[in-house]
Amino acid sequence: MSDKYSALQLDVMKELANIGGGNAATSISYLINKPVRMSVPTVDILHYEDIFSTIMEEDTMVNAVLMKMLGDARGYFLFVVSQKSAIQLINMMVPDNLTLNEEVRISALKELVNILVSSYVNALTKIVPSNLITTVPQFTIDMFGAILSSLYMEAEQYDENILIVKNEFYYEDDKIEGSLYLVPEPGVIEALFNYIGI
Amino acid sequence: MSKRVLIVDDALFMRMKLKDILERNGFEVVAEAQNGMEAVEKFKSERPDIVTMDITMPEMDGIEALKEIMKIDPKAKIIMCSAMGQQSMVMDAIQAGAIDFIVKPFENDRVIQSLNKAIK
Repeated sequence: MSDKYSALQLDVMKELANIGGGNAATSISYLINKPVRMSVPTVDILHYEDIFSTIMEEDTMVNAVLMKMLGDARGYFLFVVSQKSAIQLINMMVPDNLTLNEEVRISALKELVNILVSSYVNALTKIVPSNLITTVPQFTIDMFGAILSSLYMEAEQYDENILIVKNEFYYEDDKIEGSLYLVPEPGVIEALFNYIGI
Repeated sequence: MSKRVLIVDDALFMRMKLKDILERNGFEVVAEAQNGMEAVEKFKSERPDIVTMDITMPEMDGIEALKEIMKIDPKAKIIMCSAMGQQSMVMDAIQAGAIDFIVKPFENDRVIQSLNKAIK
C-alpha cells in the first residue's frame, strides 16, 4: 500500500473499478454470447519493478489496445491480452459467415475494447456525474514492459510508484487473460476524492 | 422496394456485422463511411432512407456529422449506434435530430426494430 492514499480512498477506487468493470464484463458477455465474470479488481500502488514481478513479466509479447479518456477527468485505458486469448475472443465475436483476415481481426478486437471501455466509463459517469469521452482505440503488439512504460510516460506519471487499477476477466472456467488498466493523469484521483469528500 | 441504408462506423468489423444483420432482414446497404466527413459526402451522393451513425470516430465525430446531415436534409432519419451511452450524449443526439439511440453492444432485434420504426 502507499502513504499517498488512505485505505478508505483505495477502497473507493476499488469499488469504482468494480462497478465499471462489472458493467464492462456484462457488455463483453453480450458481444461474445457467453457468460463473462470478473475477479475482484486490483487497486494498488506498486513500485515500477514490482509490476513486472507481480502482474506480468516485462518481456511477454501481448496484444494491446489503448484508449484515451478526455473531459472532466483525463487518463488512459489499456487493454492487454495474450495472443491466444485475443484469437479466442475474436472468434467468439464474429458471425460464422464472415471471412476473417488480419484487418478484420484487429478491427474486432479494437471494437471489443471500445465497447468494454465505454461501458466502464458510462458506469463511472453514473456514480460521479461528469462528462467523459473516449477517443478512437489504437492497436499495438509489443512487449508488456514497453507498452506500459510508454503509456505511463505519455500520461506524465514519472513517479517510481504507480497506481494500478486492474480488472481481470474470465469466461466459463477459462481465464481470458485479458486485463484492463486505468492510468489517470496526475491530479485526477485527488479531484475525485475531493468530489466524493474523502 | 427495400429501404436503402448508409452505415457509418470507423470499425470495419462493426460495419461488416451491421451490414450482415441488415441484409438478412431485407435492407439494402447502399454505402458505408468510416468517419463523419465521409458520412456527409456519402449522404449527399446516395440520399439513403436511413443512416446508422457511430459517435466516436476520427476526422469528424458522429454528433457533428449528424448536425451536418440535418442541415442538408432536416427530414433525414439517423439512428445513433454507439458504445458511449451516457445520458448527456443521448440527449445531445436526440436534440440534434437523431430519431433513436442504440447503445453497443446491441441485440440484433433491437437494431431491426429501430430501423423498422424509422421507416414507418
